[in-house]
Amino acid sequence: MKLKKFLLLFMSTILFFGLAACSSEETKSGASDSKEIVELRVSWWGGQARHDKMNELFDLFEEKNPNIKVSREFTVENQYAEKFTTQAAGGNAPDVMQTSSFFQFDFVKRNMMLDLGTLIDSGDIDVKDLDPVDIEGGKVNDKLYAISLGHNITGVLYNKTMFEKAGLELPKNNWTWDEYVEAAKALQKSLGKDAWATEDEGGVYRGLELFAQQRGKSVFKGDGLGINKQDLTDWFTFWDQMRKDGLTPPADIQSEQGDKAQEQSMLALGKVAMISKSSNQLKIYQGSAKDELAIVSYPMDPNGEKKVPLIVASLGVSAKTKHPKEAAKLINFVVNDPDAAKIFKGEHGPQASKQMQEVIKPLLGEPENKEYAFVDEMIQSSKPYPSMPSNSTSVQKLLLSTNQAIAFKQKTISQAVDEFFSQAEQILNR
Amino acid sequence: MLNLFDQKRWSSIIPYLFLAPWLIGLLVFSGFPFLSSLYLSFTNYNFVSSPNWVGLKNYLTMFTQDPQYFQALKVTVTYVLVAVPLELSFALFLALLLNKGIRGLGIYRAVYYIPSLIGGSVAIAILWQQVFGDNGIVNQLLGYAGIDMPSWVGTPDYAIWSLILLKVWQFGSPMVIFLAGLKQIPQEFYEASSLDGAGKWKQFIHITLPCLSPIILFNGIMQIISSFQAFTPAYIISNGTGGPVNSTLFYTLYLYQNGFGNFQMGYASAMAWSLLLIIAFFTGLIFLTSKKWVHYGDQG
Repeated sequence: MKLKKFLLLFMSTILFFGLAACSSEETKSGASDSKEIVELRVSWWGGQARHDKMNELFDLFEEKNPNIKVSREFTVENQYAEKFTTQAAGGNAPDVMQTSSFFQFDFVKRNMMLDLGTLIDSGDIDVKDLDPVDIEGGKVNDKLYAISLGHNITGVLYNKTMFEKAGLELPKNNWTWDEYVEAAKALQKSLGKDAWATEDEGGVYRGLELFAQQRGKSVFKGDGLGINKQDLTDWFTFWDQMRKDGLTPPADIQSEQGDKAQEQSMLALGKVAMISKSSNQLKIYQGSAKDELAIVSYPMDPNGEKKVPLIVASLGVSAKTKHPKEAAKLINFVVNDPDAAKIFKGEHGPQASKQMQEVIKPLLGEPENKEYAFVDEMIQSSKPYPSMPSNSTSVQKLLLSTNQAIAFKQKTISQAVDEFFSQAEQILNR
Repeated sequence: MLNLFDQKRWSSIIPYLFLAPWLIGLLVFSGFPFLSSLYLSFTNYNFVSSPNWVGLKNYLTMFTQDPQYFQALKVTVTYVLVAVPLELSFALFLALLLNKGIRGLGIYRAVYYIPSLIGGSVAIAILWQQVFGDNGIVNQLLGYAGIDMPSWVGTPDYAIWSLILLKVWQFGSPMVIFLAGLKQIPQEFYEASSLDGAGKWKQFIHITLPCLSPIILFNGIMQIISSFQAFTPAYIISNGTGGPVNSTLFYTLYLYQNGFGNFQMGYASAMAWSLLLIIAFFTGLIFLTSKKWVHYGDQG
């Protein structure tokens, strides 16, 4: 009897709250007849300079679209994928998100992104002016999921002043691995003890990808790995030798560097002379570096495959968004509106729309001119970025910790390679 | 039928009415997730497709095929076994000092308590990352003493120590409890023992420690449980990787990586339930041995 009473009370309380919830819903939908304000959540990654630009951009968008409020979420690149997937897992993903060739395959395969086909057919997103290479770069399984903000090619950002001090000729595009190591050794001689020729990049996925591409392979293939143990052994051995020759920072300094933003990076602070990054990063690093920086292609195997994968940074829409039209409007604004282009100034590299490229041309500075020259030359021999399986972002992180284990001498290269393969396969088979 | 005007009935219902907000919260926000995670721990669940039953597979993988799991367990147990005794000793030591009836006790107590309030926060973890970095203040001070140390947070052998120090630094809350306990010890014990010729050390061993043992038990268990669940400092200091080389891969951090990095919610739930059992094991162990070393005043 007591239980019954309790249950009755319990149920009625729940009902009461249920009623309250219903009624608030009704007032909401009632208000939509008049001008309802739509809140659009947008997320991106980057350093402070980009956050400032994005804020300015979305302020302008709000001004032009008074019925849309853009709420903004941002973080550094290495934590971005994890944050976004966590939000998506909780059914709480932002409506519009930044993505790139490195992330989009994983995001799409986890059903987190919206196929943009219908929004393009309905004219909400206008892709007429966009370069075909950019369109191609936003596709997964032949469907367009991401609209390019700009295209990039991985190159070596280098400190020109340090090269000159070392009495070195400036490197030319398509330089070889041997030339790269020679330059590093010469640089190290002139840099002395407190700075290093290059960051330790044995744990950097994008480097390994280029290394594999030159062997006619790719880190990922289908749902598994596309490289074999020998490839990875060669890669780790190369970087191990670089460390032993003192051309990279010691393991502890490299691991502390982690994923600090550009402003606090060793390149900007003059502690290393070279790092490999997307070409659009040149101007961002230059913004906080004292010395003059420049960019050159990633070292090549003279006998290997010479086509380089094109990286596209882009915007996508969450698969679960309630405001696809507004999201499309925002993307369309960013990629096609000249006023937006003038604020954005090719932050993510040359924009997909040639028209927009023309609009901003007079506004570009010296670092951008170097970047555009580099991209224009290298894009001739580019190909779309290779597809990746779901969970590939976790394997990218595994590469980093595997390289660390070797650098700290906790594992031999062959141990580390074996463990990488078994763990990567475990991750990819989930 | 319920008679709305029956006072007796109402008086038995009203307490539940007042409890309802909390009770509903407990059932909906704790009870439900609690039970569903138990269910999920026997499934393979990646958020996208619905969970499918795999029986004990998650638990078997964990204990037989996942070297990372044992690494995480090793890091966490080391952390608990080193940090908790250190923290408690430090807290007791300061409580003894403060118990000497010094002036401004309230101020000291408040100041020493502050780290306990903020120690688990993101801001402090970021501060710690700077303090124990390669050019951090700790290495600069050691540098003056002629000791050349690598980056604490960047070196696998030392990174865990920066986290242990962070834990010990939060000695404030056990200290306050110890202080209260010390005040409870009857002064007569000390007077009687000094008449018998006991020195300070003997008094500490034979009076202070036994009288304080229930408090030590309480503090110990609370700190062990919270240390097993430590997450924020390791997450921030290692940028979410548990690095360098998994040296700060706390149990909860690895759990988080599995659940939200790899979308393996079933596996993460299994890890959470194993953690519950591990904590229960340690707590149980302490309770069992406590009969031997904990003295309650009323037992004479």
